[in-house]
Amino acid sequence: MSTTDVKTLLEPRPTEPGLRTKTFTLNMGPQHPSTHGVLRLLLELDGEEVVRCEPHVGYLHRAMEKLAEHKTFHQFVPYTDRLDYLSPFHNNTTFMLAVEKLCGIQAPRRAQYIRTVGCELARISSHLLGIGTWALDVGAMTVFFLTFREREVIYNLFEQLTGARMMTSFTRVGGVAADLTPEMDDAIRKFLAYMPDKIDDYEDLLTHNRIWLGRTRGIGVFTAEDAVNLSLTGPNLRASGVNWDLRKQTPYMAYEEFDFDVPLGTNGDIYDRYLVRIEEMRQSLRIIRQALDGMPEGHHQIDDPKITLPSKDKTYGSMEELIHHFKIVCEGVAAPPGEVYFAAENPKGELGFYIVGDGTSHAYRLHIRSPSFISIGALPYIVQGRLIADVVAALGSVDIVLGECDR
Amino acid sequence: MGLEKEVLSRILTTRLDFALKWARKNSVWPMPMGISCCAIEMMAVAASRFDIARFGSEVLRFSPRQADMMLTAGTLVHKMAPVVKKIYEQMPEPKWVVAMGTCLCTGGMFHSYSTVQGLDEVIPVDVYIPGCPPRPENVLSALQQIQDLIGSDEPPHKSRVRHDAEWRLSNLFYDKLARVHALREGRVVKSAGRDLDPPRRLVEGGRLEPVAAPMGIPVASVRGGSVDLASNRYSHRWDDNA
Repeated sequence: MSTTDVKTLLEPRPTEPGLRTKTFTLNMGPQHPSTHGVLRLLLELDGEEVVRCEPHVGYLHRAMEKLAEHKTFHQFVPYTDRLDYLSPFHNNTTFMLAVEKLCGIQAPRRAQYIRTVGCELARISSHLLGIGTWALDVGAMTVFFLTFREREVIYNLFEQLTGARMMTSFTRVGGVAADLTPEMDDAIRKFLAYMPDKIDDYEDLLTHNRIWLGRTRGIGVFTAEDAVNLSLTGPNLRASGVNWDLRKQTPYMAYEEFDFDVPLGTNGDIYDRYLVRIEEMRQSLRIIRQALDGMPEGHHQIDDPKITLPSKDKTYGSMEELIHHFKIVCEGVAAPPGEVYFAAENPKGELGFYIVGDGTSHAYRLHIRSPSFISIGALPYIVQGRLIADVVAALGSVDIVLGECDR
Repeated sequence: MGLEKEVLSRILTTRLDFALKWARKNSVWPMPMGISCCAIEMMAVAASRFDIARFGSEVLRFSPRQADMMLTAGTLVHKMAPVVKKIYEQMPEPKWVVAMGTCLCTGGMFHSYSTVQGLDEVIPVDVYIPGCPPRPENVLSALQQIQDLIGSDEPPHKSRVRHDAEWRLSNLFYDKLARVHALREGRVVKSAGRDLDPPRRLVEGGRLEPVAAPMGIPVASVRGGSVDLASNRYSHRWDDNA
């Protein structure tokens, strides 16, 4: 559906003489299981057909950008966890890469590799939940239980790596909080061996399922042009056939060194968005395997006493290190004045942080470019003119999370 | 003799209210009020590994009129608060409320202009689960506490704080409570740094004028907020989201 078509939908419909229909407004959300959070959709209905869809956001506005102005960069990392709470590790990493860009430093290669492993695990975890709840909304409950089974495995890995199931808060300026241990390496390799069959299981349940095909094929189409015009990113954009993946276009961390494919859709419908996510999980497994195989030796944090906390024995034994410890703990890591924008390919799309630094360890102003906000903005374009049941399928397909949208 | 034996072997005598409570507490129907991050852990509680069905509570009803326990999970912001209240009011009596997550206990890490500092500012709460997010085991534990509450003679809605002893004793908890009380009493926690006068400069005639005023930027009058350090040990650190 092109954008001009939508405009005609918004106009009053011509009616037969003597026959007048009245539209009906339905309030979907903010408490509705298939709005994936606290999204509120105002639907103007003509029978079961959606004439107009107006998303209302802000039911989860927690003022993160304002809070960022009063938190040091390290203190803000836990807040990034709660942005897109389906892939906290990736948010941590994206934020830290932005801060590191502002500071003009780069984490050691080992840290970059550990981050890559975590990010790709987060991507799988996010897509698992996205597909699971989406299938649940459309009526396939089994998929939800299966994807959650695998999510628990990933949670166990995160718990082993970072100490927390969900909210990892693992990155630090110039590195990560802890090194990847050999036991951790083994655990992730076990997961790599375990996961491909499970992805096949989801495909067995959905890919050729007649009901799933009926609910998803040819529905909610973004043409490539529309998708670009609507600023869509991530799997939503790639399902429309646009080859745009920030991991390839503007390689960050160590993505240049890995061999992986960017799955693309052809029709841009709901089904393609599902296929792209399934394939992205497989590619993520490939990336993780390469990252583990090529894990460089070295330290997991940058060797700069102004940035990295000294080890405990040094803190207690050396005056210089004690001072550094005190300064980093009390004041945080100072960034030079300036402004940066850094975006990374999050599971939901392009997550960007715009940071204005004023020379302190706080951001003077921080803005978050959240892919979910953009996706919600694009939602009316695919549901207007469709049936109300398609709203649920379309909403699941754009894979939004309100914590990130409302910020 | 024979009849008595027959009766005792086949008939169980009990009090009616006891039987009702027994039935009620073993088939709690939760209304999953998922607002944000904690909702994901709440889903994990319902999913394969933790399986809330083992406690007779797998019937998650998104319709409040069919539920008797509200499992609230996430950060409550002012825009959402009336919605939660309305849904609570739509639930039939008797009903119980669980506040899952630190955000719903005290506002948690979101001490900001938009966030409600605890669910009990809006509706009564029976069991609080601290944690950010709490582990699914904690949610199951809260469900068992609710079951105990249903089985007991106590009426619901006492807003009793049932924190772990460790949590209650931590400084963090006291800090947060003090902060919440300050907000509830209308005291604005300010710091010395933020109460400084706006920068001024000497102009002709020996007057001091705010620096920004000549640039056309309106300058607030000198803020008269008092720094109440006596009542609030850490107030100088709490201005951070003012």
